[in-house]
Amino acid sequence: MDEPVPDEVAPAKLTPPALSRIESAAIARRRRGRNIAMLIVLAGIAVLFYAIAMVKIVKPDLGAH
Amino acid sequence: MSDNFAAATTSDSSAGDWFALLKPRVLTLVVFTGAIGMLVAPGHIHPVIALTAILCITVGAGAAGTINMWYDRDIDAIMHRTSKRPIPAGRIAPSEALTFGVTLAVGSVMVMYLATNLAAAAVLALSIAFYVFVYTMWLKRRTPQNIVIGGAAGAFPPVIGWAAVTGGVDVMPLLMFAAIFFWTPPHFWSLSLWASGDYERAGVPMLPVVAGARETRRQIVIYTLLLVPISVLPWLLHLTGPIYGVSALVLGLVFLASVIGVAFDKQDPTGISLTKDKPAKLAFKVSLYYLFVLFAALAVDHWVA
Repeated sequence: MDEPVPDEVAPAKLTPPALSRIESAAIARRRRGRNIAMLIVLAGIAVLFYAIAMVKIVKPDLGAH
Repeated sequence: MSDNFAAATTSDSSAGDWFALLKPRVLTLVVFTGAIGMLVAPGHIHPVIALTAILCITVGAGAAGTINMWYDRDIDAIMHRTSKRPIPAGRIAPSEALTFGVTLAVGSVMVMYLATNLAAAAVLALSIAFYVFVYTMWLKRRTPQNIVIGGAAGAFPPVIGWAAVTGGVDVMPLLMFAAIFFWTPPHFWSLSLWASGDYERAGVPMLPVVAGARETRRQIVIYTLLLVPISVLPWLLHLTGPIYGVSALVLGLVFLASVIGVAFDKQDPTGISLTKDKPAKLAFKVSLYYLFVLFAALAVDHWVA
């Protein structure tokens, strides 16, 4: 059987290391960049699907075989 | 495979890291040759569908590159050239990279099918599977001929482009495929002559590591000798005009001259270059220009005709 973990040790293991203000700002900046990139990609996919649908409906002969 | 990179979290990565997983430098060639394959194919295709097909080819190739980075993360960490990639550097977790790669691969094939046709989607799926399973997982770490057969994966884009327009595959796209296929070994081995140290450390059996520099130089010349007539074949078979034919011949002779320079490089008895591989570096540069100008000539020839 495992030995019981002392109460004062367990919370320290579960708590993530404290980040400095600079590290937090860097993480926030990277997250903002990822969010903007994701927005652009999703908007691009929406526009792309709309354009493909329009071509297939309006000019089906020029859509690929 | 043991995993020392799993501690990375999404918060460590930037949008640029995810983009880097796609191997953007390799994609230049993919986009270019895929677009030329589409351009020279008989028939018309709406510009939106054409752009979608090129996007799918690009994303599909990027997906294969991502899965390759996921699989090769252990050797990437050892090699100096690749140690700063997002996975070995600990900025992206391997499982996240794999999910990203598989999602892009499936998505690109599905959109290709919806926008163009089954043939283009099937060849795209085949090219991704070939790069991941045949090159990355099977050949790369097992045989010094890895780059020869694995190079086929990079030769698919013009075939996919052609299939997107015509709905099938013909002699011309197969000749474009063959040109890239026979171009890859001299191109890559010219590079590996002076950059094989990394592969040796990682235990990847690249030809210079296994067979030595002298044999590598010999193989470079052999593959270039095969490449030159194959590149001229479209003209000889009356599939292109003289602009392409003469360009292919001249370019081939220039490329051949550069690799003959590699074969006659001053070397010690073990084959190690005494000129710091200057001819090999030149041949590598020539090989890059060779393929771009060859395919550009194909487009010009088609446009003029």
